[in-house]
Amino acid sequence: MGRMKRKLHKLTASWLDMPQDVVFELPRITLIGDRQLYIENHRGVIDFTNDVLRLSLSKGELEVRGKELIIRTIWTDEVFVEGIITSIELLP
Amino acid sequence: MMRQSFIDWLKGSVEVELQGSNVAQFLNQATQDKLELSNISWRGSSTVHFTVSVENFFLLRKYVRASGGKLKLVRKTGFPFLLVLLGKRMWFTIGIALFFTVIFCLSSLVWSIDIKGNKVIPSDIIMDAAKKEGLYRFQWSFRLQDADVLSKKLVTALPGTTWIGVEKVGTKVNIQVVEATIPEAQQLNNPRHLVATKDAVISYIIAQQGKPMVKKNQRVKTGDILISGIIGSEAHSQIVVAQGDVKGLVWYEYEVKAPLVQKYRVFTGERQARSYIVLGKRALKVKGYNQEPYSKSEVITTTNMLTLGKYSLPIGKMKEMEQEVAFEERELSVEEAKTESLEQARLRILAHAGKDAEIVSEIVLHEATENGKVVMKVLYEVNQNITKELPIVQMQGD
Repeated sequence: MGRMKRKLHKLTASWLDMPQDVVFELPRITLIGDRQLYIENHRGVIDFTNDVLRLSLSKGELEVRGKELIIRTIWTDEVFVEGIITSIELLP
Repeated sequence: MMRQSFIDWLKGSVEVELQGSNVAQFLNQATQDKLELSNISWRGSSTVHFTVSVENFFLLRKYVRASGGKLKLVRKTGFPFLLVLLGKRMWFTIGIALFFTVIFCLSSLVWSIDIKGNKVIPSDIIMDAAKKEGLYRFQWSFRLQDADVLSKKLVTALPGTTWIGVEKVGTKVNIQVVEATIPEAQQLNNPRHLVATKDAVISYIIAQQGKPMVKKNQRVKTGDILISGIIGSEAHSQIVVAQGDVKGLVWYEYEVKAPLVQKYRVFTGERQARSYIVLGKRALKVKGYNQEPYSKSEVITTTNMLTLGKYSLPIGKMKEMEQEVAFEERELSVEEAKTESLEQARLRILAHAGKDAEIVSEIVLHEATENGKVVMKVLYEVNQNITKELPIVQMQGD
């Protein structure tokens, strides 16, 4: 996205009060306690093991660490993870 | 959410084990092609479990081949597998199906036909007519004609009915019959004369059919023809049924006796009750011991036997109510005795002379009191019906 475009997007977002993840195509991460994790707007699964789930985002990656991770449901742009979650890391 | 999972169950889902493949690549490819995978979990170092719908399961193979690894079925849940289970227990399924079929069939039969409202026409004739129209016990319900069609057909089939209502309530058919009111048919009579039953003086004669032979205030003897059944002149005569009313004054002489002392029965008020249990023909006294029966009494016995539906068992109970009786005497004066005996005589005459009789006069001819009784000779003049039928016998060749 060009600088002008980005600036325009930012203005539109703040003026119309739209949620940022819709305008900037950012992921939305909802964490409930340490058990449930919803990630919306991701770009695919890089890796998935019992302890690590790595997702690719529009900009960068997301790494979820924990124990006994189970993917309850997975769609093209949404994933619902359950298990004992110890850390969430955003990597550029 | 509930509906969604129900639809999932209806379609059926399987739990799959995938061994030794690139899980990430597999997941990405599968989800890109919109296959819904759920409950993805690691079991062991290189084994992954996930759940997928039955229709999607068959599409998994190309992804598995692309990412390597082996596919294995772990669990099957859902409606399609229930059908498989039922299929394995064939007789069980057949039993269930048979049960519902039998219930349905049995409730589609006509089990009872109730006929109400018929007084003149016997029920079996109505049943026969219904049978001809296809309405009978154990007939299939759906084979019955419409209620109004049956109504019309039954009315035409049964003469003497005004309206027949047919109503089906569940497995019972109610037939309501309304009969036609037919005026009373005239009695057929044979040709006859009307003759006198007693010696009398005619007080009233009206002939409806036939020729009257006597006039008012004429004396007749028993057997005289009052209304003749042969009318017309010598040349052209016709024989008819004589009909009419003839009344005459008849004399009766009665001797009545009335005792001056009357004995009658009265209850003293003393009573005793006894209860028994009846077994077969024997009675066992239950209540009422130490009772001395009265010297003069009247006993009322009521017996109740146990019944089972229509049948009565030989076991029951019996109750005896004994009421003491005493005879009392009442003295009548001569006047009272006379009036009483006259009453009695009047009643006897009316019973003898029949309805429509009236006592014209009552004359006491002779009265005497003797032996504690009043004896009277009374003459009654009664105006009564004196007709009797005498059939006319046709003579051959006359």
